[in-house]
Amino acid sequence: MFDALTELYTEGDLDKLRAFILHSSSWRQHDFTSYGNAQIEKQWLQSIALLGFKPLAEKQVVQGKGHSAIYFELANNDSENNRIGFFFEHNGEHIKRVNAIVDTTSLSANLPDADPLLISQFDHQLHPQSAHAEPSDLITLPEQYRDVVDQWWHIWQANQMASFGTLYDQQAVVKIAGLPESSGIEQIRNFRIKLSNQLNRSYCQLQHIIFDEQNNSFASTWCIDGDFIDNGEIKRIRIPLMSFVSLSDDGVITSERIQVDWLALQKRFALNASIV
Amino acid sequence: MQKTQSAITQTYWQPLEKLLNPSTTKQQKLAGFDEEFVDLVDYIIRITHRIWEQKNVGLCYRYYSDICPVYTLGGYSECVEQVVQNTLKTISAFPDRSLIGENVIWRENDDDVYYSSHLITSIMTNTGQSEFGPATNKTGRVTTIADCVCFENKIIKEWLVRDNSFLVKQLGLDPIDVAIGLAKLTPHPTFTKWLNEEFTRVLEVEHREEAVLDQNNWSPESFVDAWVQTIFNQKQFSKLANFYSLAAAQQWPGGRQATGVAQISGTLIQWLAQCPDAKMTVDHLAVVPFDDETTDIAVRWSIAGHYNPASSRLAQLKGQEFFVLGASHLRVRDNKIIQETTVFDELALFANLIRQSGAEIATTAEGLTNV
Repeated sequence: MFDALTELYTEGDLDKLRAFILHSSSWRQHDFTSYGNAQIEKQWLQSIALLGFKPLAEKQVVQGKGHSAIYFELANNDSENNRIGFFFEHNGEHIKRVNAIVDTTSLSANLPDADPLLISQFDHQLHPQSAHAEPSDLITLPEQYRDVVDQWWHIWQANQMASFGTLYDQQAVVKIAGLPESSGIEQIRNFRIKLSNQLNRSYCQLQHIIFDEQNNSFASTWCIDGDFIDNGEIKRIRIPLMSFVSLSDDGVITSERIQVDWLALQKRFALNASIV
Repeated sequence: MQKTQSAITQTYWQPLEKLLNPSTTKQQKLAGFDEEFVDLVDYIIRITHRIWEQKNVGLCYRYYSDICPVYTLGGYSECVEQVVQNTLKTISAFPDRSLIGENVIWRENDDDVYYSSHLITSIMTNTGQSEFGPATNKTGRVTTIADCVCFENKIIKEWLVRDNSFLVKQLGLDPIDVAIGLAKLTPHPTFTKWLNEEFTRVLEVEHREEAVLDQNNWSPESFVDAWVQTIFNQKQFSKLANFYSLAAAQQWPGGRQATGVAQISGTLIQWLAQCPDAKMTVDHLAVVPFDDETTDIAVRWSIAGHYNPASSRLAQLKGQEFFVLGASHLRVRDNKIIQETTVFDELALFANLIRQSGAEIATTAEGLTNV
């Protein structure tokens, strides 16, 4: 299944991937959801035109129960690799729902119109009357990693910047969509600070998380809602994100990859200014 | 007697070829149904495919009774002839419409009557004149829930809800503009009578009565009753976490997507503020297991109250009688909703409000509201 996903891009192997797709499967990419074979295959062909036939440069698989995730990079000779993240629901035989996030920053892409989205205003404060999801609320985490994963989420949900210093290896590999690969926490900490300052009344919501005990890694999909001041105009936006995190045996984060489709975000909310 | 879901067709992981060629033996009595159908889900999936995707519109004569009331928030039809005509018109306007059966939640009565709640995702391109106006030549997606009463191989009654506001946004149309056009249509007299009677019935619900959700004596029925009474009738939003898992995914009409309690509270508060005196009734419930850990619940419901416009374009409609026919599919695990798909026709809601008020509201092309 993982090979079928990568080989769509490296070889254009539609048959292999088609065998996993149902009449009722859906595939979300660039904030647009395709349903059924005909629409999904059209999206594949557009993706191949945009990204395809490049060798695989890197791959990370996160196996969960019912959901799995894969992050991979396609090699580019003259620029940054193309980064793609998939989070998908499957039963081992078929793929039901795919959420794909492509780092489109370096691409000049004619993206599809996003699905209509109506964001309702809500109380974003972490006040005690509300219930806010943490990783350990959603899945059973291995005991030795539970606190680390919950504290990782605390960085995003509660702006707990000090955890960058305690959770991460000082040489951790960090790859954030739209930014070059870096080593250490500086880039990811700056990214967090910038997001906090760019978005007023922001709120982070965990959507799915899976933990792979074989590989000491986890993957999650989540989103940030916030008010973004776009050339003087306040726009309520929602940023979908995907995180791939690897841990050492003693529970230190050794790598983190964050996928965001910045071009799709700009198109959906007609943004003029850049967020990062 | 309700059969366990494990014996009945399960659509979620099934390839279309298997759904259209079931290999199991008959699993339900299905008195008076064609022998080929193995269970009610199979019946619903295959007749939908034949009528809509294979374009055998005339099969409606075989699978609908001559008199078959079909209730929607946008109108009423009474007999199979109208079902045939409406199907043909829709297929003409959207000729490549696919109907992807996402789920069928069902109930079997002792009197050989079956009830189905069919959640459908359609992909379709608007190449012809439709109820929304001239062809846009754009492709859109829409969610529909069709609740049907089935007896002896025929659908004898139906409630149909479709997320039309989500669809027209993808077609590049303004939902209020489309509603203004729909409001000019003269409704069937039975529709007006039904709407008035339903409005009165729902407004009379006892909304102050406390609903106790007893986790030790939990049942899908008591859960839905408490969900409706606590959230929709009493507006106790701090209790949302009693009903929704912390990462529950919620889809509501018009592109309202929410995950988790905070976002869900936003969707419900903002929407209910349009009808702050809303009263809600549960009009039908069906429950089937989805797998060993989760249960699927289909709820058909009604909401009545008075309109408090969120859009300044509809300010003239303040205080109008507000009525919604809706349906929700809830997937429940550990006694909480993990996924909700709620469908109603927001365009029809606006059209009914505009028509009843008699107000002249300008389309975006015509400029600001005429007073």
